[in-house]
Amino acid sequence: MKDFKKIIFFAPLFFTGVICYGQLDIETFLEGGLADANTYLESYMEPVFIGTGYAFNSGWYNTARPHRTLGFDLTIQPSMAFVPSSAETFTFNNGDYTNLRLRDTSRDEFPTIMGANLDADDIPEIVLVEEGEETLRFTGLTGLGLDETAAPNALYAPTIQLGVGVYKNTELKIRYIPRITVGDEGQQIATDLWGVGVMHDIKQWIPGIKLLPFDLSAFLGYTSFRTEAELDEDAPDQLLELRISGMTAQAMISKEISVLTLYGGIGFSTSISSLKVKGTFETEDEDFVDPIDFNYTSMGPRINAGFRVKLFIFTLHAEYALQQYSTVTAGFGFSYR
Amino acid sequence: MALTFMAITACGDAGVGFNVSKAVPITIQADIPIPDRGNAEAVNDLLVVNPPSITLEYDISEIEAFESALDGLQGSESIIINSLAYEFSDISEEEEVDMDAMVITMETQRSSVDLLNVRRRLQNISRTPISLTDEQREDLASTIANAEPITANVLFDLSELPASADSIIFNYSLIFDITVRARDL
Repeated sequence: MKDFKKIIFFAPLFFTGVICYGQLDIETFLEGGLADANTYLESYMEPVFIGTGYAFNSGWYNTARPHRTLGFDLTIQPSMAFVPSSAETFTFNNGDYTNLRLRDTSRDEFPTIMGANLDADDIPEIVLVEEGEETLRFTGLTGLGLDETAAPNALYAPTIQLGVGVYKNTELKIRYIPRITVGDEGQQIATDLWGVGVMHDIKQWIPGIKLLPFDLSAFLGYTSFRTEAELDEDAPDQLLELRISGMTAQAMISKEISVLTLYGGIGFSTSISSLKVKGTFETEDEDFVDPIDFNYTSMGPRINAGFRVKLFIFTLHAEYALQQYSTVTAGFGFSYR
Repeated sequence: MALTFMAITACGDAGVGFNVSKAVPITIQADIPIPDRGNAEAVNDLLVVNPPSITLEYDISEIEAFESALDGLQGSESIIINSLAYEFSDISEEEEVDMDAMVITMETQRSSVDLLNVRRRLQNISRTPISLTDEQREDLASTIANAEPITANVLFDLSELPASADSIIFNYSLIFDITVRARDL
């Protein structure tokens, strides 16, 4: 980064680039100092990946009673993970960076992408230091400011899910969105999702409660979401890869009262996410191979409560899960046996 | 999917913008020729004479370093001059002399203002601020934003001369600390 022009393009290109990959000018980003840019942007983007992981871990069940053998349900549901206020900012630590420094160490809180939409005058300045000399100062990236819009400050994950009763009050759950590819050749985006879960009635194995009027089960589920995007039609090896996988383990209880089922659960959820930019990127000074590699993990307790209404074979359900990124899930479907 | 959704719903009123600031030094090599010494007598390696003043005149906007640093920024929504400073370097000990006055004048299409008029010693000095009025800042910022010429005149009025050197050659820098405010990207 030798002049204003490069630094001006540095952040916004990545900002819009990750979202609207077609505008991504990776070469300019790389010239900006790869390691430091990775460090900053990894923190900046974190809520998107952690929150989406929580959203995908939601909505696995709406009753603790597994289907009888060959009974089934098909459910469509979006989940929404709310970004906690603690994830709207991140702390810039000088020690994490090679060439970047805070201009004012008392102002070290920067918005994440899910943070407030601030005017640049209100965002702290970062100093680029090269060979011991301050060469540039620039403000950090602003957040999207979703709080200012009608939409909540949240991440979304839609799922389509099939549950099938198999044996001994055990239900197999399958999530699947086939690989969908959009865009022209060289600029295509492909997305797919799959997941598998198992719910098993544990009440049947606990002496003394077998006949009590509620259902008690254990659940374990895994979801994998994948997106790949071509970055440059003239460089077919340049790809953006996004992976989010999550696992949920819960004990849950439910009670049917006529058409209404009330349910709740306790357990944990964990997710692993990554964003990689692969390929060879040439700049004026250097070639970079597989330059971007962000990785995120999250794990924490999860407590949820919800209800389901079943009319004939049709179901409507909604639930709230209390966790680091609390989620709301609502859906509909049909259920047989 | 989640990322795409966010792109559609963003952003708040502030939009996406940046402030990018840089200290842009405009350095020229000053060459003050020593006039005929005549019969002047050297005292402590200095000639006690009062030579005519020397004025350096140059168009800042034509200096490559300045052009390069601001490449593409002309027409930017907002340019702010945070500060202006000057610096002398590469002055040897034998070349250090007193000055009766050093005057820095900048001419834009709208004004011509003496930014500095000091009596000081010509010696190596690190960045020394030049105080600017708000009006002067705005005039300079507007001139830079519109890619208009800025002529700098620097007058050195020496009150003594080095006894041995034929000229005083040193680097003189004017340092513009500039912020570009880019908005609605």
